[in-house]
Amino acid sequence: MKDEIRSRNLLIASFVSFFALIGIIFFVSWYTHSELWHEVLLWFYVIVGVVAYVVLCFMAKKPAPPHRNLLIVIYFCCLAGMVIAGLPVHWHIEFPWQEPIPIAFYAIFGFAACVFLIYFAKGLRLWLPKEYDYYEKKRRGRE
Amino acid sequence: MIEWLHPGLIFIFGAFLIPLFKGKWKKAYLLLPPTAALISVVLMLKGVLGSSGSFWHIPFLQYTLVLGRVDKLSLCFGLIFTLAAFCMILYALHVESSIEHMASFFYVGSALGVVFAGDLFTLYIFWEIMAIASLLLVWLRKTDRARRAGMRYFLWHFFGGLCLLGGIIMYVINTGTVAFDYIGLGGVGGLASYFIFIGFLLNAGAPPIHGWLPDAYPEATITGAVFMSAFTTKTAVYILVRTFPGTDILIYIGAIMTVYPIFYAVLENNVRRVLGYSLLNQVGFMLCGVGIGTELAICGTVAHAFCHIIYKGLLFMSAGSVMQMTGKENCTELGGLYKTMPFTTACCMIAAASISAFPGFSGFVSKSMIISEAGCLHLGIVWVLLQLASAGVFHHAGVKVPYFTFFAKDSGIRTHEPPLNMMLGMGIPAFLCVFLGVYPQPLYNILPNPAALGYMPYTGSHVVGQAQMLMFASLAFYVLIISGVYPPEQRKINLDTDWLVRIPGMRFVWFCQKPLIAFANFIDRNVLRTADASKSSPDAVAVCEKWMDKFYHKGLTSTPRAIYKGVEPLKSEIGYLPWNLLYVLISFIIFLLIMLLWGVGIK
Repeated sequence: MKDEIRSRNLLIASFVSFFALIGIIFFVSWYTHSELWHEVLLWFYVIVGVVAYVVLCFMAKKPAPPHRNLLIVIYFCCLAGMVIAGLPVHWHIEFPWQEPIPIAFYAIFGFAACVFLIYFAKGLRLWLPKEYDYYEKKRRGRE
Repeated sequence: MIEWLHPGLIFIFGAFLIPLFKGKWKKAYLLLPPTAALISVVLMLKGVLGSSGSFWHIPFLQYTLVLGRVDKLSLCFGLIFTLAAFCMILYALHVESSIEHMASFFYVGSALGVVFAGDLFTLYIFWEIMAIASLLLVWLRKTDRARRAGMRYFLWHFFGGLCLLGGIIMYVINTGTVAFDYIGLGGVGGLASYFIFIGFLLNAGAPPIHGWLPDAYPEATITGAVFMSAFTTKTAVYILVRTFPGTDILIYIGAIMTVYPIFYAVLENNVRRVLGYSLLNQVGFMLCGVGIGTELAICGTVAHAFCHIIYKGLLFMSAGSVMQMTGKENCTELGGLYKTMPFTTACCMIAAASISAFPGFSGFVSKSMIISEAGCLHLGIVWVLLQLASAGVFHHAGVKVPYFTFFAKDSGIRTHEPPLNMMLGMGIPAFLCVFLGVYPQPLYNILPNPAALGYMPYTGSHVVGQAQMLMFASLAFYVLIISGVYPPEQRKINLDTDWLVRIPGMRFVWFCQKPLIAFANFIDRNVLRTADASKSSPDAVAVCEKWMDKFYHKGLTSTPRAIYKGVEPLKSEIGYLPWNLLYVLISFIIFLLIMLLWGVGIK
């Protein structure tokens, strides 16, 4: 148990150090150019997204980790934050299907795309997979 | 003062000295050639050591071979190849076998040889050394599966190499030049350009000639797979950027190539095979960029290749570390490793975030160039496919690989972090993934076209759009896992185009062995029966019998036996080869056809 806590702390520490690095690099780029305040906002979104990604990886595992409900709340806040973040953004509209709801277009697209991909893959599972030693068996059968 | 130094030849000559060293000295020596090559490329970039132009000319027949053609494009690939080679050799430092190190040195050296080649002959020679060296990296795993997979890998590349050789010879005859420059489909090269194109596409892993990649990479040695993930496909991308930029068909090949591996990756169980499929998916983006062919798209392709080598190498490294420490590489057998391998987990997650192009990581600053260029040109279907693939890649490489390996259910495996050299080999690319994602300007500065300098990856539309897409893709993953719709991992294999080199050859031998011999026996029996019947009147049929015996027995029945006799020794001695005899024959016939066409071309 002690080992687990220590290694989890190590994992968190390595993430913190990587993102501290982002912070330093960002600070340098911010310090050398001026008038980049809106990039601060963008970086806020980036970090929120990354936090949500890490949270997701922790949360989806079974058995349930401690503070699971808190993690779920954080995760859904991140999702909502992503859509709200779309409000002040100036969207490049390149295709007619982006026009109706530019704020949440990518959100809907991402969700729909993934659901489609998984159902399609499930469909392919009906005929693509063979036993682990399919080719070996065929070869032995021929011999 | 040296005018120019070939970084590839540093590796190739350096390889010969490896067996002379032992223990610590060997480890120290192994880092010397990559460091020297890296320094020589950096000096070229700085303009100290021949930053542009062509060097090392060798007269050959009536042509001149150019070993060193240096410009911004080759320098960009040269830099990433040497950089990746350094990290990978550091990662592989603990490997005892000298021959494995030699194979990887030859492999890296010949890939650099292709990058700096200035003519088609030099290109071809290095191209083939690359194929053989990577074959060794598969065979050195020394398992039966690896031996067979290596043989199949060899057959694919044998086919591609013959197409390329035939194409090059025809091209040289048609155009009278060996220059390795823009070729273009059709055009001056005519039919030759199609053969060259197929040869290049095979190495890029374009469908449907991609079967070798997901087949052989997971069977390679742990460190061998790391090397292979970087060089074979990316040299093909480099060559396509040189010779076929703006070829329309590449856009569609690339777009299809980004989407179909996702289905396989979702179904696949072997972690390294999942990574092999996601490698194909990423190369699809690059081919699409080459096909679009505008300045920004080419920049995007080169930048994406640059970033891709780093994060894909890192993914293979972390999968390799897991394999090294646990001996397992199937999703069904792994899980819960984050408790004992936190550093590897962090590296894998950084690479996964990079490959899924999370803002702030290296994939984002390069992939968005290709996709936004497809958007600017209003290529509707292509844009949708690429975005679909971006969501999908997050799904299989971004979440599935780290999730099933390091989290998910606890598999009960307790191990510890890999050796220090492997951790260092992973740490440098992990740092680069974050660094390039946050501060892409150094990368944009070395790209071949100045178009990239004005490109802004961090605009609100890009960042928020991409982040929204990825986050809601993760929501889909979460919802489907919770609701049990997500297909569970199974210990199975999936049919792919490697079927082509596995089954038809087997069926050919079976045909020789069973129906052909049955036919021979049938004839034999009837001849004997006739001979028996003729015994009652010996004199009358004696002549006839002799004739029949000669015709049927010696002619008809012995031919199938002779065929089988020819096939059989191959089977017993080499064990594997006859299964693919048909395939080899087809390759030869195609080669002969090319030669024939070449002959027609002269007249």
